[in-house]
Amino acid sequence: MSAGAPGRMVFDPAEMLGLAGALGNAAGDLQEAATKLRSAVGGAGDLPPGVLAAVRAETASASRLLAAAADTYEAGSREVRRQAERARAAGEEAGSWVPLSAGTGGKILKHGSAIVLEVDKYLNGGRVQQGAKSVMAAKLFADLSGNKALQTVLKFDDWRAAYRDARVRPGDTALTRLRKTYQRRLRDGIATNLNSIRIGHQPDTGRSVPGLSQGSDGLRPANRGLKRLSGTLAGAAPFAGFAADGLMLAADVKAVRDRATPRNILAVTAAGCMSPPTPCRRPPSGHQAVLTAPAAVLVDGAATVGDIGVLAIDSAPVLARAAQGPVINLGQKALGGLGSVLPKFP
Amino acid sequence: MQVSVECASSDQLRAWARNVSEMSCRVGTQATTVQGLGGKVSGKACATTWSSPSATRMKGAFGQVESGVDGAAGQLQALAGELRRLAAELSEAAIVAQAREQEAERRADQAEREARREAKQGRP
Repeated sequence: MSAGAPGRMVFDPAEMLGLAGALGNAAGDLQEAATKLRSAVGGAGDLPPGVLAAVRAETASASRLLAAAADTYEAGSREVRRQAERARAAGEEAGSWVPLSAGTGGKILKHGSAIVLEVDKYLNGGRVQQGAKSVMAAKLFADLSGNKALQTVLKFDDWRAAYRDARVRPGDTALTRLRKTYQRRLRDGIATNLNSIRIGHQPDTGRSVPGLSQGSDGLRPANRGLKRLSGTLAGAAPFAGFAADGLMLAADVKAVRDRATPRNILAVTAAGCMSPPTPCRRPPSGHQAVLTAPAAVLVDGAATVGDIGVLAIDSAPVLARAAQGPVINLGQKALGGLGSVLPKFP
Repeated sequence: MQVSVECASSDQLRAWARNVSEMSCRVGTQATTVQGLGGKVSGKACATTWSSPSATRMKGAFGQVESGVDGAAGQLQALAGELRRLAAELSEAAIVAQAREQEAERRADQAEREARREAKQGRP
């Protein structure tokens, strides 16, 4: 996946339409110049023998060049206008298109920044913060939700710059505190489920884990965000800069979303928490450090690990009656690093 | 651009010079207009940071168009310059022709006067 490649930019449909208009005007100017040029020699008075023919030949040649240029500009105008209309229509269909100029004073955003804004908008209930706050919010969302697809959107340097701009140091910051808070809540939720299993109640399969499902502190369920993000990205694909990468990313996010159903949302978030925090690691030999394998593979891996965890928890009440110990052990094993803090069962 | 002026009168040459000069102005104006067109939108297009594959192709097309328009403008400027040079040459030729015509006229007048004088002297 090449998302976040240097120099990838996107256009605001309004700006694209503006450019299309400018191209159309230029095409008109060129066509008019070509016409004027042809008529420039039409009203010539008496000229020396051969001069009129020579001037006509020269101006006709230049006129042809201008007409060809006008055609090219006209075609460019049509193409830009078509893309702008597609982008606008896709945005309207999706309910909201990536606010390419929102919060940036109309500047064109980097590919990743547009996605960051979209995530930020989701996290803030439609309001868009600016600059480092947006990046931080999106970064936290990616880290805390284990959204590998989102993590791959931005380059290592983007994240590092965002951390630097936000004056956040990896390992000793609000990020760490939030991650720990989230992990603690996750553990508490899992512990609650497992305790429910232990005492023989119907277990909670993750749909309403306390502190996770309807968090008022910005840690909302990943599913809704992923669904919206996926739709937005798919809708934004016609954008020039999203043409290829955006579709791939949308597919990746959709893959996460499909797995992050209410049934296994806990598993996905758990898998995310198990993944080591990589974005601030210095890349070897200058390569992108966030992920070295294709995002889809990692997304599949995270979801698979999560599925195992959900399977273990969902199956626990049934299997626990027959073989409680092994099932719980499977669940603990599937949840990896969290297993050490889970309650021990006899 | 070569023009044969040997058989042209000074009035004809002056008219040609005036018309050619006017033509060079027309062509020069068009050349200036065209010259401004090329960079105007190409500059705007290239100033954007849009870098999708389609945008890259479009920028390439813009570059080609700009080159073509610049070529047309240059061609027109060269033509206008050539016409200006021709107009100047025609003006000079008109002056030379006028001098030649005046000289011819002076000689004709002189010949006429001599003829009249000879006729007068030879009268009985």
